[in-house]
Amino acid sequence: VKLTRRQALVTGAATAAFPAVALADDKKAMTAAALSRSLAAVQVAVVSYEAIANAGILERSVQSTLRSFLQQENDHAKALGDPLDQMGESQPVPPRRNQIRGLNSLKTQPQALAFAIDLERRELSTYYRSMSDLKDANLLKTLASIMGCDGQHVTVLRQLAHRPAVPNAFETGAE
Amino acid sequence: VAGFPTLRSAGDFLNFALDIENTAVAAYLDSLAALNTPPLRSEVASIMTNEAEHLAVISGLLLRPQVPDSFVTGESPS
Repeated sequence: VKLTRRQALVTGAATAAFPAVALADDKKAMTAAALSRSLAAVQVAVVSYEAIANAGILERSVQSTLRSFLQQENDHAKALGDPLDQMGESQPVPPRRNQIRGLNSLKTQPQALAFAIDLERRELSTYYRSMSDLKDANLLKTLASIMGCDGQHVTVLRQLAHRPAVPNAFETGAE
Repeated sequence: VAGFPTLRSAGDFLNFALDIENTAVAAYLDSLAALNTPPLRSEVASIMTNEAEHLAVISGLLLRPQVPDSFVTGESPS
């Protein structure tokens, strides 16, 4: 097949432009994936805090603390869900209570606190990994400020559970 | 250190520590977008979160709300 000079020029231009398009698509996909997995982690926290706060196993002051955490997790879900909507991406479907392992078997406050600590650590670990995949300055700030808030949640929960409040110099969600 | 405030009580010290931690959080947050090496962004975020955890402990010692906001932003460094 022989190309005319015009066809060759058009083909060449398209080939040259393709990497930029592919990179933009890659960046958008990475951003959407980072937001989506972070939001999924928050959704688990929202469902779990709601269940724990209504389970009747917490002292009143602890219940009040966890309810305030629930409200803050709802704020986080909105802050992560809105940019996904703006990108035209679907938000993950929130889990049902029975899909969250261990949630329905919590019977005591110490069990609930240990569960909540693990919950927050999993969120922090997800954010920690997602920070590498975000480039947008506003999204980076949003995710980092959420990470800071959840770091404070896990600190308070550790104190309530009589564990060292800040055991590590780097909060990555690891034990 | 020049300009270091005179701290006369535990309360003075805790309030001063709160200022330092807030300033650190804001500085880390501002620097994130300038980091081009992706793993470095995660590391800085992990340090910033650690400072936010310090804030929660210090606020508790001052009998203030330990997690007052849904988004930890610190204060702008002066």
